[in-house]
Amino acid sequence: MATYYGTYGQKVQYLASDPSDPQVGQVWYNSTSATLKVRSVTTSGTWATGGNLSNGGRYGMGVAGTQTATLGFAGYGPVPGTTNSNKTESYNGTSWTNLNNFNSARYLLGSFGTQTAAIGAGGYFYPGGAQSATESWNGSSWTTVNALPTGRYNGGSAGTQTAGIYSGGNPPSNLVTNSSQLYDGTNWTNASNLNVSRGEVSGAGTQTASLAIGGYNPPTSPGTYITTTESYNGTSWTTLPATLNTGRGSAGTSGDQTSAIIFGGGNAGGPTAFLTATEIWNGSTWTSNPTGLIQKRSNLPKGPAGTTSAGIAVGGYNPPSSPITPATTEEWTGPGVGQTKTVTVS
Amino acid sequence: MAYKYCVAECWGKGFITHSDSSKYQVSGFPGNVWQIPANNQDANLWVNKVAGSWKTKAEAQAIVDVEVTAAQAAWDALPDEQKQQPFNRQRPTAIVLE
Repeated sequence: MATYYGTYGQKVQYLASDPSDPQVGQVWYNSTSATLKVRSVTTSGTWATGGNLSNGGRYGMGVAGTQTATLGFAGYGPVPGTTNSNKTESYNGTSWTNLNNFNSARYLLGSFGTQTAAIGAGGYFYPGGAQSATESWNGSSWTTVNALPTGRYNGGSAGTQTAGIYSGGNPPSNLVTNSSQLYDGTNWTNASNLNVSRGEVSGAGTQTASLAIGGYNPPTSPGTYITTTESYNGTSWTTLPATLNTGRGSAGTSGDQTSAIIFGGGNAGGPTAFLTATEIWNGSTWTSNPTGLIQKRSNLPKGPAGTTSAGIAVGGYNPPSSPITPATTEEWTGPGVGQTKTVTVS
Repeated sequence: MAYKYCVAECWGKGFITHSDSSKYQVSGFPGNVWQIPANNQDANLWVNKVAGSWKTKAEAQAIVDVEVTAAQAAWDALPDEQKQQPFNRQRPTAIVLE
């Protein structure tokens, strides 16, 4: 009979606890849990439930940071109703904690930065309409800083607190724009325009290496859900040959210009309007992940949080989900990430 | 694909893990209704883990329908102006479980 030692030249380790840094392919027996374990890598991405938002579900939130150090703020919810939110919460990978409020409640805003240094820009306030105000977060409180040139919501955003970009979106007319602005930590300046005007666009990356993904144009029925991806190099936008497999607007993103994911969003009217579908960008093509979000959700934050390996979906909108604005968050683990699995022998 | 249904309250982190998701797809619906593939031992164990209450498809559909009806009534009660604000324009629509 073949043995593990005979096949691989090594014995299975007998350990009281899992090793702290197991190598891919390593096999061991955990004597405490009486389980045989192996270190492998994920072959596709998966979503798991994360902690629930502490202020209830909201859609159109701002978000910044990483999967285990996330900042979530503003938004709208619960709906139906009129609740422009000014709540700010931080996530530590397990639970959400309340922080000092955003100064001016709004939703569908641009957002970028980290958990301790972030920007929230533009957005929509019901019943006031498109907003131009910008606020800066220093890790403990929000300060109103220089506003966008014009009010705008549903633009894609990316970057850091001192080097951000906000592109496309819906101006006060509720039509769509191709306008892009850069933020340097103090002022907004005009950048070159997107090639394709769009609202509900999703952003990823940095100010000088960003993506504008998908979106909706025009915002009138039936409209067109866009599959186009554009990249920005610090000077101009280029329409990339690769397109999304599923055109969508109001989707969430994680990652950067060369490695990103897009998830959820909406792409039609009726019951199929809201998506779970997740796609992975490798810098040249979009690939559909075999499985999507656990819950359908649209109107996710349009600025990125997390990475292609470890992303996060916060809030969103899914009529008639219960609640309509899900308080649940979902955490993404991408393909190629190491994972410890228990070997089942029957 | 055939599915089974249960009702369970999502407590957040750990409710559905990456290990769960790598073995089968759990889909969430209104009313804390969760859909899992039928004839999947791991999925059955997940229902036990989350203390889920098994529902027939008809029972699960009824729970979803109650939520949909309530959401539609709430939307209908909104002022017309509010129905026109971004992303509140669509009356909640029925969900038919597979």
